[in-house]
Amino acid sequence: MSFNSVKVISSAAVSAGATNDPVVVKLEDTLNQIIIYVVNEGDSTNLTVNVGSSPDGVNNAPLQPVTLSTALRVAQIPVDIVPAFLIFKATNHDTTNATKYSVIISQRA
Amino acid sequence: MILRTPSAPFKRIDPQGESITIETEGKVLVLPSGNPDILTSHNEYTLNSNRLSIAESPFGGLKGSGSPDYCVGTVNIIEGDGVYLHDVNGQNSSKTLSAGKLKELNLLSVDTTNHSITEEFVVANTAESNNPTVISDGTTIEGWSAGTGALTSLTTENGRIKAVGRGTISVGFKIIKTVSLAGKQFLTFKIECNTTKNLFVSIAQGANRVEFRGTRFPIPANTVTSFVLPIRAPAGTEGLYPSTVYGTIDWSNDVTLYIGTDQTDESDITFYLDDIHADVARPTYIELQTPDNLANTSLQLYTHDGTAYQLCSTHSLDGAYSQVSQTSANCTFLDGTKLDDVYGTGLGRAVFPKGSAGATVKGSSGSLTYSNNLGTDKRIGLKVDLPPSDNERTNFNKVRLKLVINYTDTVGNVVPDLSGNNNTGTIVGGVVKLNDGFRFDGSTGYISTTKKISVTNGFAIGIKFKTGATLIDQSLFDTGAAYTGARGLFIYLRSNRNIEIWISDGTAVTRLSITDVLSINTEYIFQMSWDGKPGTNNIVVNLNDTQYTLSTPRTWAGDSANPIKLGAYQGSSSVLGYSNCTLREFVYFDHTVSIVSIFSAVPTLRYAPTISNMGSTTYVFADSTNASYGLQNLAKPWIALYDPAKTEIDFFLHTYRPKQLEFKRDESGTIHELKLFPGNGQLYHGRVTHCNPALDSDSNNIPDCLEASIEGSITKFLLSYGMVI
Repeated sequence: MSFNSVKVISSAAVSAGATNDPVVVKLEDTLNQIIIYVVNEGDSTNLTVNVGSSPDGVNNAPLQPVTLSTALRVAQIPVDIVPAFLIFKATNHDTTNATKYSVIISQRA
Repeated sequence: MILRTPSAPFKRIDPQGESITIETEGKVLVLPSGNPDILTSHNEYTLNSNRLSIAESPFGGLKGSGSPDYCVGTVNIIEGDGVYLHDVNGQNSSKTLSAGKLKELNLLSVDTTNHSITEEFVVANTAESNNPTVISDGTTIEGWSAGTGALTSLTTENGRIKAVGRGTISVGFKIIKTVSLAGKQFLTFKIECNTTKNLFVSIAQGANRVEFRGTRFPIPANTVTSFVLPIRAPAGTEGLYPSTVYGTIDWSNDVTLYIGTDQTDESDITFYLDDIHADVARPTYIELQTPDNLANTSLQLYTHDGTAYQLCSTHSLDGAYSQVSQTSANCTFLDGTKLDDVYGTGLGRAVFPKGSAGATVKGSSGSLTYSNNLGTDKRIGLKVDLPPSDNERTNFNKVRLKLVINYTDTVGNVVPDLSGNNNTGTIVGGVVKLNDGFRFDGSTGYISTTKKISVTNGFAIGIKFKTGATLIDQSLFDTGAAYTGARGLFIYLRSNRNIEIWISDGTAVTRLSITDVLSINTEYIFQMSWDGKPGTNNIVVNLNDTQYTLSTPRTWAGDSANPIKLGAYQGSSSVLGYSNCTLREFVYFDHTVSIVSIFSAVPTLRYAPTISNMGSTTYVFADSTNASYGLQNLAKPWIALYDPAKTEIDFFLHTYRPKQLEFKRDESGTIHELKLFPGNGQLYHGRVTHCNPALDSDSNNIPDCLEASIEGSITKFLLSYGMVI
């Protein structure tokens, strides 16, 4: 079955030098494989998005961090064993430039 | 194997047997130690400015002080009590000179065009005695008596022999003793005189004698002066060579030793003698770490005579030892004394072929067991016999070496047949693999094959080559020793700008010429097709799209007398010489081919450069606390690999601390292979994306991507994982 894509976080703002509250995303039970795309849409030269997996949306096990810039705007994270929840926490290490980020999940059952 | 992109957070990888070998593309391997001074070449302080850049040496190294880097170029004394390495200015004395330190001192360079490493250093014996036989320790005058001149008194004083007297014309003032110098090479002693004099030592046996005297052997007033005299050397006028040698001494028998001063004195003088020894050389064994694969001419060895370097010898060291050439008399100590004169021609030195840690290899003379130091896996060895030190009065106790080490790629000294017919060639002598050809050195290098050419169905050859900076008479291609009449084909490039094609039927030779066509530093495409039969205008030659037809009355049946040889003449005669061309490509067909399609048709044999990881070097770690390569220093359960110019960082998570680890790095600085040993544990592969692996926000030399306190770093990501140690 082919992948279909869902934008689960859309242009979330992150202030310069700030860390956002975690964002919890519930995934469908039937998924076999997902690819997470994290996109830096703003001017941050150093935006880290920590991606965690969770059984309940509360307990967070690190899945992978990605650190993006204006040159490297998109990163992909393939996930073979799909958790119930994903948790995203963005930290903008750039103390000058605010930014926005989005997360798109390509998924297949 | 090549690992696919792992799923998050990481994916288990399963070794086949005890290890797994992975093809990689990183430039920086990270073994986090938690301490900038431990595993300094490999720890998380990857931005440490003491690390050599790839431009400085793609094989790595560390400047400054600290644990040795054991990178390519590191030189280490394996055996030699009292012997130390130092730089050419006499500084940085050590048993080990790291590649990074040599580079810091501009004594090491890597030439990635010619695939060579050049380094210089001095080996110095600081010991004033090696394995001495004591002639006198200065506490007794027993056996000593008046020699020449007038002896007033002979006593001991404060543990030294004290002689008072005066010298007479020609013979000076000396005392004597009968001694044995059997098996010894040096006479050493300390002398002090109450007035400025010159030494006069005579070793006599009947009418035969060796003398050291005159202004080359000064004794400053009231200064203890050490002498180390090479008693077997021939007479000379420089350095420590004897002033005079009369006749031949039988060194197995006793000699009469005269020691004193050489001038006439109007009143008594006093000299003191101490520590009079007969001594031998100190055999000193050195190893030097190298890439995995050495060129056929692996090493050019130079010594410095105090004025300039002289090429002593060249050696083939990739497999069993063989000498390529030697000018024995060029091998000198740093004071200019020839080793030949001290020890005999070709003696007092040895070179040993490539080996790994702990391996015993057989060299030009004797054998050598390499040290157990790890780091760079391969090494070559040298041995030099050093005289005792004369308390640094001269440089007789030192050799200053320059080594040029020629390395090659993982293909080694073979030339694969790209036609698929396995007519593999072999590189012999000075051939440098370039990205676009094989460059012959014009004196020793060629490619040999086992493939003979056949005229049964005719044949065709194509050769793309570039002439060198000079046009010499040079053999480009030979199959038959056509020069001496054996059947075959010979293509001869002439200094008069002609190309000659010699065809021999075994009894006589036809020489065909294409005249006035060659220039220096010029690319040529030579194509030739012949039906193998005698005839008129039935040989077609195409040179850079100009066509020539040639005729020969000759042919032969079946194969040529000898196989194809490229870059040199088949026979032993040096008349026709070697080529200084660069061979871009060579094809051979055992049938005729349309002259315009030689390089696009399917040949019987095809050679073209196929460089694979040039300079590939294996670096080996140990299950130890060694500060340079000990895995017990690993402070985290993972190792990482990345390229600072890229954005992906691979990591390998171990559940048990690894006890072994190896990587291979080539001359581009690329770590192209990683060998992992999970031991009893599991091994996981993960990959993190970081926009700038070179970013170091707090300037502590740990990049943000490895900084434990920074969100997004590998260290923080893997913080919750541990390993069994």
